[in-house]
Amino acid sequence: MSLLRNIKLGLRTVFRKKRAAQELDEELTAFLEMAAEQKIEQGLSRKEAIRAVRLERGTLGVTKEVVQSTAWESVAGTYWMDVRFGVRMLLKSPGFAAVTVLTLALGIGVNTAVFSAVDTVLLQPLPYSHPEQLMLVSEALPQLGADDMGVAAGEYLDYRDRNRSFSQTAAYQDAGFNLTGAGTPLRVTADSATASLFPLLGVRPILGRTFAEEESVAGADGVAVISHDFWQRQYGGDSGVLGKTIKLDEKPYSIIGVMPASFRFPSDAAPASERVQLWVPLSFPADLIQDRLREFGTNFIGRLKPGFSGVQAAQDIENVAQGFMREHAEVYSGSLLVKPRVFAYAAHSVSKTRPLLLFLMAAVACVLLIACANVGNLLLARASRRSREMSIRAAVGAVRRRLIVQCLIESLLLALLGGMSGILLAGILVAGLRRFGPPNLGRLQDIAVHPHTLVFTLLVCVITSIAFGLIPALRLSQTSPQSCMKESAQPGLSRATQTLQTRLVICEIAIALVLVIGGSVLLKSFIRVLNVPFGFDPNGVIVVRTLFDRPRYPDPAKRAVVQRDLLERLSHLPGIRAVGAASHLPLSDERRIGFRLENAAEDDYHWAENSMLSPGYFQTMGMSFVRGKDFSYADTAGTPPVAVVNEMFAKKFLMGADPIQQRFHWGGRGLFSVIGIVNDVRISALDAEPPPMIYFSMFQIDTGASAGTAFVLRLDRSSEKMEQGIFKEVQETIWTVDKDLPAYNTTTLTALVSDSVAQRRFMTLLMSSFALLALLMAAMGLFSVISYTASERTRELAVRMALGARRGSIYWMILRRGGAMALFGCLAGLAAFSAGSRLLEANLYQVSAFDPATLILAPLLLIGVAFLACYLPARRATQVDPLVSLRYE
Amino acid sequence: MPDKPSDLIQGTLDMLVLKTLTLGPMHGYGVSARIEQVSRGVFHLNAGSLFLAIQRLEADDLIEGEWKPTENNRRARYYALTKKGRKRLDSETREWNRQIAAVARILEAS
Repeated sequence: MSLLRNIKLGLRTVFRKKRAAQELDEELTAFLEMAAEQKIEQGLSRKEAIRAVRLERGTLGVTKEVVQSTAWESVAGTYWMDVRFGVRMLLKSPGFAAVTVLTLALGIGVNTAVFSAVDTVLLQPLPYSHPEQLMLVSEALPQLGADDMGVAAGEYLDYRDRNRSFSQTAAYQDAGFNLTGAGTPLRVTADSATASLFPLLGVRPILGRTFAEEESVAGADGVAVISHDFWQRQYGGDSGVLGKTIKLDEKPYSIIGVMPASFRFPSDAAPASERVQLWVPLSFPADLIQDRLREFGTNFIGRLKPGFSGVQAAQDIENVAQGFMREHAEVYSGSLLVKPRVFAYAAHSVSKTRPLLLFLMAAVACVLLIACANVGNLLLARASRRSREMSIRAAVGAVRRRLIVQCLIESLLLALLGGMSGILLAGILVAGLRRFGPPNLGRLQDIAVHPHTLVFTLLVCVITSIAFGLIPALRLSQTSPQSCMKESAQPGLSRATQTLQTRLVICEIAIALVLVIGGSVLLKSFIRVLNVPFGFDPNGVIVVRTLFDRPRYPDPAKRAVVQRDLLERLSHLPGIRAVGAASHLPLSDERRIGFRLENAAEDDYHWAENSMLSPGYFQTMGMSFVRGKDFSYADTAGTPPVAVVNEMFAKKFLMGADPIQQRFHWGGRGLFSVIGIVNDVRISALDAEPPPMIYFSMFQIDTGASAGTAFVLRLDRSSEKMEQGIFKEVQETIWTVDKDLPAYNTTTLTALVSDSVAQRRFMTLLMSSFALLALLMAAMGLFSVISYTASERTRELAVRMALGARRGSIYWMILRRGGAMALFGCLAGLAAFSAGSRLLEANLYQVSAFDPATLILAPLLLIGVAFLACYLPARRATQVDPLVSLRYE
Repeated sequence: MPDKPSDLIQGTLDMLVLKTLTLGPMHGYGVSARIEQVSRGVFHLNAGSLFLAIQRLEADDLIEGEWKPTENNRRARYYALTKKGRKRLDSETREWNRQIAAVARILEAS
């Protein structure tokens, strides 16, 4: 019969078992009756005839059984029976089943979630054509300690024309605009780019077009390409958006194209709130090209020619740089030498998060190992418990294969349940990551459960279940039934299985120790970071940013008037104690300037961080003056330039003499006198050293960065709870003065501080959770093994107690076993930790990976937990009445 | 009871059943009776081996089964040869004859 027909018939049989059995019955009965009739014809009575027939031809029942057992549908039927039996057995031990399923689910779920995150953030290719060919070129000024400065305008043009390793080049710059004329004024993050950028990246717009070469000239550059996100939010995805005009910094731009949703250049790794929303053409003003080193900060991206490597490109670019440095020797002198670096764009965009994610991957893999070891232990214990049942089955005639299958089915059922729960858990965890993950973990929104990872972890768990279900089954099916059923024999655990279990538990404890030490050390680091003195008092300070765009505020004097007006009005708002303004705030902005001390050589420049402030800023921030005084409103553009510096600056550059009244040059604007020294604050991050800082008065100095102003307002103690209300009032105040000023990124200083440690907090939280999870699972593993061996030794212990052993010594016997395992585990764990501690070093702050307190306390904790885990089984063992257990088999 | 039936190799039994069915569709007992008759009592089949053979042959598409009423108006399953079965019978018969001749030659060689 053809395969299809066979399957159809077989299926029919499975579902209409009764009917099929009936038919076979009928056929065989007919056979026998016909045989009987023949015998009757030969002269026997009916009864004798039937009996004779049966004797000769085998009994009906056995025949049916033989015929049926070979058909495939009955084979399936037996397996189905085994499955039902397996389910019943599992239901009978709900504790075991629940623990195993939970362990599997945790192992699979947590691993899949973390691996999915790693995959999305680190491994997924960028949505450009041949992203591996994209290279960034950025210059360093090594003698000034400056790195990753980008390139200057004139240098870009030289690179573009003279390089031999790039097939295409493009330049882009960060730009931000005030979007006005469409409801509330908005601040948009944008980039200006050369027309070659979009073709270089190889991405086409979904609507319209990108820039043409002609549009990269000032005057013809009133066109903009918008991002998908911007298109959705501002225009609701209206396909008639092309040709619409928007006003950026008061200049009209016509929308000529919309990019696809996946296009986020260059903010591929940035969180959603910092993504670039539109692109405008970049043109270099002639004077900027001439004055070669006035400004850096132009980003240069190139596509390697096929066959060229990054190393060759680096050499090529270096040659070009040497060339133009020779040509303009009068500019590139002294400490002003540039050194270009070429690196892959793809790696660059994730370089910050890579170590974090790799670390998490390692930690979570440890958790998976423990989970598998636990499951293995549980299965081993369980299989041993069933050895007597198995031996009886074997004695009654079960085929070896069926015994093994039966053992396996239980493991498979558990693996299936665990797998499904694991998938569910993975989905939940991934959704949680999307919602609660640190915002500066780029591409976080894209994290989705990664199918390959899911399959991989599922496989790992299934294989573990099968392996650990199979080992004892194989061993059991080989021993003769008699030895298992002997009265006096200890059923179950062979020496080898016991050793395996012990080894597994020791491994679990070792891994758990590694994670616990890692987690504690990270936690300590995190607490240290939080305790770092900020240098300012963040409690009860809110921040509101605005931007005085050039077109409407071309004159710094006009801007100063509005700023002073705003400061005045804001200070009179109810609940505000003090107000200040700054162009750059600590822990969120950075700006560096180069200066030259008064009597230093012509080309002896140094770097310092910079911010331009209003009088009263320091007071509002809770900073204090070590020496000297604050700016006043008397310091204006006409009066001698003054500056306030911080302690680090004084220490590094003004040693010896009285720092006040010392002077330095900056930016060709004359000599600045130092009028005050304030305490250090942290600028880039809490765990970075406070840099030397120079503060200017915003009413005295006007630079390209002066347009952005952040107002800081310190609230009265009483109104600290009403922050939301205050935001609105501040916005209203700003709009009263100028209705087209955007008020954006309103936040509190506390939030800023918190955000700056968000990544560290996330990592510490995860690591601690993993450590806790590992600890619990290891304890569970120890518990199950000890309780099993204890129950196995019930007999022996009963004999001991009957012979007079005291409770205490029984306790000690069992605890000793557990303690030994814990001790070995801790030793192994310490060894493993010292081997892998290097991975951890990068993430620590002021705490050594070999922190002595942790190294002592963590193993003690584990041993303590181990004793706890052994306590219950030990107690149970001593509570058994010796008489009862001696009789019980 | 002669112990020959249990020595019958599986393949030989299948071949005999196929041959018996060349005469026409028959039910299980009929096949067993016929084989017993033609072999002059040398081969006794028990229900188990016979029905196993029938099942194998049916699974391989060599015979087809159908429920039909017998002469006594009892329901029985009648089996008939298929084309494939006929071809298989021919090849099996040829092979069997070849083997028999070989065994005979060996036995006769002194």
